[in-house]
Amino acid sequence: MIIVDKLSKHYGETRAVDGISFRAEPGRIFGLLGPNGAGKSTALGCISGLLKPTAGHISVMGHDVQTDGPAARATLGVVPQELALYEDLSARENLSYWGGAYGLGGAALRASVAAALERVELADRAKEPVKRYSGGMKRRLNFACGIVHAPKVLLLDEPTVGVDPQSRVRLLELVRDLAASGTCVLYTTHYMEEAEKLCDQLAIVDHGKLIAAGTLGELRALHGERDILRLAGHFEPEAVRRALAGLAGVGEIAADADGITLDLPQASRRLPEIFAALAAAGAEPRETTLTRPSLESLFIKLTGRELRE
Amino acid sequence: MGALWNHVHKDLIRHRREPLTFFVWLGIPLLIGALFGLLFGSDEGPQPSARLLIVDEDQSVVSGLLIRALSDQNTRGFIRGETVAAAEGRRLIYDGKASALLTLPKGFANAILREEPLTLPLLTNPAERILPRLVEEALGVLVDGHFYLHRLVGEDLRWLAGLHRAPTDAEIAAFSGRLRARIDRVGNSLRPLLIKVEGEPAPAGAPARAESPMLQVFLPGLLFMALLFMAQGLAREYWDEREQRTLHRALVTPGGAWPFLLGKLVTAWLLMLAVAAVCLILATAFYALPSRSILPALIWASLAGAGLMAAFSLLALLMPSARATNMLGMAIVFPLMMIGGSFFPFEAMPAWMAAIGKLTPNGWALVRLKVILAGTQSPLAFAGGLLAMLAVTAGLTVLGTRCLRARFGRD
Repeated sequence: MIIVDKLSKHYGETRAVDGISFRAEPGRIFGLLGPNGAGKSTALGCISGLLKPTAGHISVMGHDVQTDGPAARATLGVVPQELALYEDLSARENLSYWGGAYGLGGAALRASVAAALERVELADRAKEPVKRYSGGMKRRLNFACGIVHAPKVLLLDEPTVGVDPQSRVRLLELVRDLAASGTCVLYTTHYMEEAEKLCDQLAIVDHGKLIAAGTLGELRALHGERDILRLAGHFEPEAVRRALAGLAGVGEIAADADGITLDLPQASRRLPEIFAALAAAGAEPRETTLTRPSLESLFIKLTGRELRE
Repeated sequence: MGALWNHVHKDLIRHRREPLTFFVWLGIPLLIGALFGLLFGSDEGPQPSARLLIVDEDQSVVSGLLIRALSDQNTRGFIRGETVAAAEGRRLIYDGKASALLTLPKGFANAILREEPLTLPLLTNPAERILPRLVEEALGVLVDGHFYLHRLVGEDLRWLAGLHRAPTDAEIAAFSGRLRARIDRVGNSLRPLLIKVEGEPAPAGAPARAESPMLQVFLPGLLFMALLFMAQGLAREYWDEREQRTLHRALVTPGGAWPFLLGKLVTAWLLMLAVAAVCLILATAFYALPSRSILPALIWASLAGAGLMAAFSLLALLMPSARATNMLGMAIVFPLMMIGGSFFPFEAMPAWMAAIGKLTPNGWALVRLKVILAGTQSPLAFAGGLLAMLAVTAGLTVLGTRCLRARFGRD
């Protein structure tokens, strides 16, 4: 179990993480979502003990990360966003080293290494130097190095970035298997679809702050079953705002001279009346994007921008 | 201990995968040592000697005696005295073709026989350091000899100086008799001498090998040259590990920074032990190194190398980039090698420079390694030196670990 309480991490004036709190349970996958630079990796750095928080407390399996660091770290497995492998060593040697660093040795280490190699389907190339591996194989090995010691808590920092579709499917299956076996998984990503399919609980982070948290159902309820309609072109924001004010159920999320973002139920059926109102206001829409209710649309509603911006 | 060995094992495997670097480290002392051995270790070739030019303005029997005393036969070849004209002598000195020019002025014989004040001008070659000093020392011995000769037979010498004709046979016989009587009189004080120097005979069956100056002067410095290069090169690994993110991963394991840094240090020590062992074993085979010196020398050199590694590690962990680490490392290594007795032995340095060089970490350790190799280090001094070295290494490692944990590993 991970308990994060009012965690903050500041770099001078920059607040990379600003007072976030959440709890990740054993046997479940907790998703930490947010765009690049939102503070997800910094939060993970604090939880893993690599970074010292400016304020707040973190507990991992009952061990305070600051005051009882070695015990807390002994329960953790970490899969960093960047590859952290020795390319001149083989997969087996990498896994033996990282397993040994968590106190495994002898027959137990050999068995764990063999199991990890089987899990990530690298057993047949276990003796080759990692520098000969493809990008996807390296990603799988990077993942295996984080789980070789069968950690109770697994921190995954965007593990599928740059991974080919087949390897991604395999990695997500592995994460589900680990959670099913009782591991507490904290998973950061900026792929909303991935988070929707994988995570039992979610927290959305932006600019270091936690802006929404709950199960997928709870977050959807927060948003309502409303579509996001984004129109790009040439707009006079005040005139458009007055024109749309007369349309029932249409909410404005953001508006400027280059575009407007609205939320409304069943947007596809109401496009004709919206275009008519915009034409009356002198607007010239050139591009229309309709987003069905999802985490992506929830993020847009909460922050006024897309996740990958 | 298991965590430490895990790190060491990994690093050793990685070094085994890239043996070229190790052989370069090993090759530095062996290659340069072999070259020095060829240059200085052989009995062939000319022996360095001081060419002493003598201008004899006195042209007396006494000046002739001094010139003969400074000939090859009497100085065992260290000084080659030869008479020249004054102008020719100055030209040879300025052309750098002689070590010193001694002028025996008019009245030299009178001053010697009467024990009167006399200045002997000695012009030395500024391009040479050791050979002119050799000449000065030899002349100093002759001046001392002159003083004691006057204490013994000064009266007769003054009589000889006052004689304005050649002495007769009877006068020479009488002079010889008086000289003999004086020698017999002081003989009781001179024989036996209070201090007796005895050469230690070689043990039975020991091979009769000449001790080479190569071993005494160059080998320890060359070994430290390799150790300095190794320490500087191995400390670069912190940046390699940081750039490939394995450092960050290692820091979030239960052991954290301590076993990681200690692992690097122990690996460096083992590699340095291997390099030192090869060098010292070869030195035993070729340069008559006493075998009893090998183990203490090996322990000393390898632990000194580990201390240097700890210092360069701290430097690497304090630097803002890998490039800065490399540049500063090289900027430190070369002056340390030059002044610390690796490029130029302390014996060939001016005294003030040698004194500074012996205060550098490598210079300090090098001086003691020479004593260990000579077999004259006392066990107490050896243990004290080791303790001091280990204490400094431990202090540097603690600082390095703090740096790694607090700053370097978190960027």
